[in-house]
Amino acid sequence: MSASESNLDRVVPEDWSVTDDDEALAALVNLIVVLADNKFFLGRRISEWLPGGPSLESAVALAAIAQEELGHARALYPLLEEMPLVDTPGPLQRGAERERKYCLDCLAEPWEWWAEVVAALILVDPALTILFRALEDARYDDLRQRAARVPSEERFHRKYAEGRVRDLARTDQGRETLQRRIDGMLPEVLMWFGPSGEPGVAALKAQGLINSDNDEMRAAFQTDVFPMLEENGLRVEVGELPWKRWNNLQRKVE
Amino acid sequence: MSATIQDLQAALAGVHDPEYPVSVLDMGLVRGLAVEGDTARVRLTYTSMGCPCKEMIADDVRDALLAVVGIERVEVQEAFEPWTHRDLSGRARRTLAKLGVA
Amino acid sequence: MTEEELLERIREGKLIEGPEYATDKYIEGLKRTLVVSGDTELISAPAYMRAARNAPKINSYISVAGIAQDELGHAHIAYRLLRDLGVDVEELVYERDPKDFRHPYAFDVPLDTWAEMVVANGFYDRAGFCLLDDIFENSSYGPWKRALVKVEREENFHLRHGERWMATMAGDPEQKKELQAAVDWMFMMTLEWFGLPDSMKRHGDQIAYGMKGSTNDELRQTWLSTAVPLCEQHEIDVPAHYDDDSESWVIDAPFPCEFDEDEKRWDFDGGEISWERVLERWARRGPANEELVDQIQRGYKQLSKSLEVAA
Ligand SMILES: [Fe+2]
Ligand SMILES: [Fe+2]
Repeated sequence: MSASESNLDRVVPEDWSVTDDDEALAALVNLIVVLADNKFFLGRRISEWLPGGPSLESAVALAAIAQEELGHARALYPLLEEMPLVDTPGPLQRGAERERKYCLDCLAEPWEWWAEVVAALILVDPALTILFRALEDARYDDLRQRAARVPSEERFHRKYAEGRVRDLARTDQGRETLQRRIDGMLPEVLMWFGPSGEPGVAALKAQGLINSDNDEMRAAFQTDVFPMLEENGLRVEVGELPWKRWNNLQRKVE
Repeated sequence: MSATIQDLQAALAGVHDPEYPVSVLDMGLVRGLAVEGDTARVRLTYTSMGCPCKEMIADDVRDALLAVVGIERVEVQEAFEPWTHRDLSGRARRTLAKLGVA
Repeated sequence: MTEEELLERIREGKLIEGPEYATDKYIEGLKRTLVVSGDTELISAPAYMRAARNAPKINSYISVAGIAQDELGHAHIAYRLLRDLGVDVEELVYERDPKDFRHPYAFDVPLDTWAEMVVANGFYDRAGFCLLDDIFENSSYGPWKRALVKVEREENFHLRHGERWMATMAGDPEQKKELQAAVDWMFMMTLEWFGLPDSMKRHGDQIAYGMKGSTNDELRQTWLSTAVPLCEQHEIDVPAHYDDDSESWVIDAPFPCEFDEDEKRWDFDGGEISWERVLERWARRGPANEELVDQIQRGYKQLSKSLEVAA
């Protein structure tokens, strides 16, 4: 390829005019910080296991995945600074800049067990991808461009994750170990898509900023991930989700 | 006299990827190049969103363009466009094949 | 093939393409060299990730993860060659006692600060580069020589990463102090990395067999010839200078010397000690040895032994 002489559109962002709906704007800010923080901490947690995959090939793959997760966070944070709101949460660089973290509980502390890495790779990462897909035709160029690139990078993460699920599911003991982690993470991941009929998401949808509602995304996630888990003898039943303990701002269970 | 696009391209031909002896042009990272008075604007994409050399590449590009006669300001923008092996030039492919990477 | 025939081939500059073209003695020497190289690359990954916890920005954290990925790839190259020579690499990497790893003692001293991270890129990766470049130029083992082309390109990025950050930190008075503190222990540590002085170590066989081209002291000089100017350029003090008369770099501190591994401090006042003392310290291994090896082995061990069930 040689450089083209294309005119540069929007080197300096024009005045922000994505939406003038207050509810949609607040939901958009929340969506971006939630996606970015989850990518950030998923990347950090995976990177802590970077040299420790069960084979050298695994370790190299984990290193690549960790960089990409952090790269996705790195791409999103600058959008927060574009937002025409005064009190948007700031970007994370080191991870300790603000008290309030907008990530899932299962990403909040370092993982002690390999099975946690695998469970997060097969549950959390695909859940985030579902949300990125829902932004692929968002009427907000800077977000859409970034979101659109994510799923293609995630294909390799997914392939890797499925391989590691199969490694563990090969023995009864390994499968039970993974099952326990799945049981621990799955309710939180399902709830992460948010309650049915969430007003903020409805506002985003009305403004053309997201193409699916919470239930649709949750259903898409289940269709995407559950068959693969079941094929490997893993159970995906969850009881009643504890919505009473749901923190809508940080999108996590308290 | 102001710089031309050709001047900028010539400068970028000398900016190598930090890990390979291949220029950012041959790598297919440069997605837009423009000159306006004494300002050069360049849009870069990276081989992955998590590219570990992103900052180094952007800085090298900036330094190279600032060295062009007539350029006083450089704006580097990230394009977030997909990158695949098809974006490599023939020359890049040959070099990388010789190194045993692509 | 006899030793004499093998040495003759090597003298003629012919490359050895596999164990069938060499003697047992050659292969044993090659294996030892490959284990040291593989272990050194491998241990640097957890060592660098440990220091990355204090990376100032996402960008810098990602850069270190990228560097760690490269190092794992380099380790993989060395171990793959070992596997081809009949070594059980799984056992070697995942079941070996941490004390039996062959990486230099330097990596057993934990890297904690971001300054230590970037000095590691500037010093340790430079040492690695000097050693690998010597192997690349002189190795008689074809498969390794060819694999090293890619390794060298990547090490070049690690070095530049270190140099750029050292330049940035040197420009800020507070950060410069941190940088100097890191250099104060890591400079001598890297000098030690190159091993026993030529007066105590015979390289005859290693060089004749094409395992390396330069002696320990020569490699130490090569490292000094770029590491010292780098520091001088940023007005960072190092105990070494170029001596015009002898046309060589001279170390201006007792070397070797006692090292306090908890304080990360060299006991210059205690004066020069014997290399036997140093070898004893190396054999004990350093404070981070077990932690770093565990970082590498834990996934394998958990997967294969399902430790969690017992826990
Ligand atoms: Fe390396
Ligand atoms: Fe390196």
